[in-house]
Amino acid sequence: MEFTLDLDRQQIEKIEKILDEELIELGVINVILLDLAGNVIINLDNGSTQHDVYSLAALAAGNFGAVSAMANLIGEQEFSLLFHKGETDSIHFSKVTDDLLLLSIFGKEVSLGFLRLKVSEAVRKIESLFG
Amino acid sequence: MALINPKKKEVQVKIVYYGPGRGGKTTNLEYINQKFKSRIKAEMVTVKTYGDRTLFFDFLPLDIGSINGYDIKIQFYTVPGQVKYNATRKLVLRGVDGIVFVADSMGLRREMNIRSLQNLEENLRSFNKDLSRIPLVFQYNKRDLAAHNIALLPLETMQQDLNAKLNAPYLEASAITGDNVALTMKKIISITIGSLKKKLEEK
Amino acid sequence: MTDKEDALSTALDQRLDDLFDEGNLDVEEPKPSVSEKSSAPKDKPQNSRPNNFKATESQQPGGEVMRGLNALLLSMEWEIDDSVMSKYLAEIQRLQELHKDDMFFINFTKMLESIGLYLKRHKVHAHQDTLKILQEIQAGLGLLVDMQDSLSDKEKKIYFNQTYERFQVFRKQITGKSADVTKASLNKNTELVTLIRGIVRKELAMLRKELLEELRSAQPKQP
Repeated sequence: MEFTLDLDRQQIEKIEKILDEELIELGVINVILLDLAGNVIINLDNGSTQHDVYSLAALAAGNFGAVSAMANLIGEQEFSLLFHKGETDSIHFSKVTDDLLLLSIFGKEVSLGFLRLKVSEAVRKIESLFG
Repeated sequence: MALINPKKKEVQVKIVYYGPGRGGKTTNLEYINQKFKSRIKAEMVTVKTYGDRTLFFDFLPLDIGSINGYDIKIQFYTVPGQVKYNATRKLVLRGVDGIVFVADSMGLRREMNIRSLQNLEENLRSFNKDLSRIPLVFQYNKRDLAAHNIALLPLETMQQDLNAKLNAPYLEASAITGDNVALTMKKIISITIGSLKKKLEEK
Repeated sequence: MTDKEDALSTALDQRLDDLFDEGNLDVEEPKPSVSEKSSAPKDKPQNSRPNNFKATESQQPGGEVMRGLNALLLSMEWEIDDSVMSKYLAEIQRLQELHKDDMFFINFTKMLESIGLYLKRHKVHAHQDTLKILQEIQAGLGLLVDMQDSLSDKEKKIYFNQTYERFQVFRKQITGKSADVTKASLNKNTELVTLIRGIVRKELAMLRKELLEELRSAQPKQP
């Protein structure tokens, strides 16, 4: 039995800061960093939401696994855009490391194209934290 | 692969109910969800397929409160029991901390129990995990059917078939009536947390 | 087993006993029909809003003329990279060439070009409203194209001014923002803005002159 990540308090705070500056300030409603086992590592929101993040993380991890398996079936390493569009809110998934996923929930006022830029920037910054 | 968040002082533990199809894994979680609704305040999530069979998994989060200053959150999952869904079973097993193997006591299901346990072992091996080293509880389910004159496997047979080498704790239960369902859950939580604590101290 | 461990397992056992005590359930569970959480999202006005998304995808202003540019803007909605930005800027130039005699059209596209260049250069560091402004101005141009024949030059001018004002406000936001982010690229950006401002000033001066003449000739002669 291993532990997913050995993040200390400081590292968590640094990641939170990155996610806050890159995504929450952009207008993203809720950002969840989770591992592929479905554990919630970081959960940030803009204060106006109360999603059941533990269930979201469990389903997101399962969904991501399922979509990756689909990619492999058609000969793709992975899909680069994982996105569900709703009438009001949408969800975007991004792989951060082999074990970590970033889930962003955002409304209509945020454009997907711009969110994707910001997410990759955040991922880049988080990666650099781990050296 | 429990997750410990030192900032929020939170531990997330993943426990999976495994076993053959129609063995009562989902019923276990449903019973807990219904019976303890007022205390758990959690929401059970279930992804079902046509005909009410588990397609992906069921998910029940259980917050057992603060122990030694850490908020302990247990996440219960079930796997789809049907043979064809092995890919999803593997996904759900990822990062598992403890397992309840729900075996079907009906005489007809003997083979299926054995095959499902083998499948569990193989799937764990693909994550480099050893079944004999993971907190595990056997639940011999559907014992209530004896009262309906349905032929059940004797306890000794089930123990011999499944638990001879592993020697894990086991309980006779009925998920439908709720007999020993909570006890199974208590048992797995208690040995999983005990084992986590040991691992932590070894670190 | 140490004392500490013992204390933990006792605490845990106690907690579990409390949690799973079936004999002492406070309230016998009324069958939970609809859960709180699953009903919560339904409180949102889900179907009351018009579906803006569809509208932007199917019936965009500007028709045939703007088709390429609109498609590229939609691509940007999905992904902003060098390839799509270059295509966008190339399409603007193509349109400018085609409409070089239409000064309103040219001035609108200059604004788009300026913002497009800015977005291409700054990407993730661009102002978060960049795409929104681009959409607004482009939709404005689309409307202008659609109503080309029914608008007088005066109306076109008012219309342009409104859009230009919006552009100016955004420009100020950008310069405010980029001042502390990137200084090197700022100069080029202001150059562009100055260029556009120059063109627009010239254009406005010309229009003012024309308008004055028009008004003068339309006024009834004093008895």
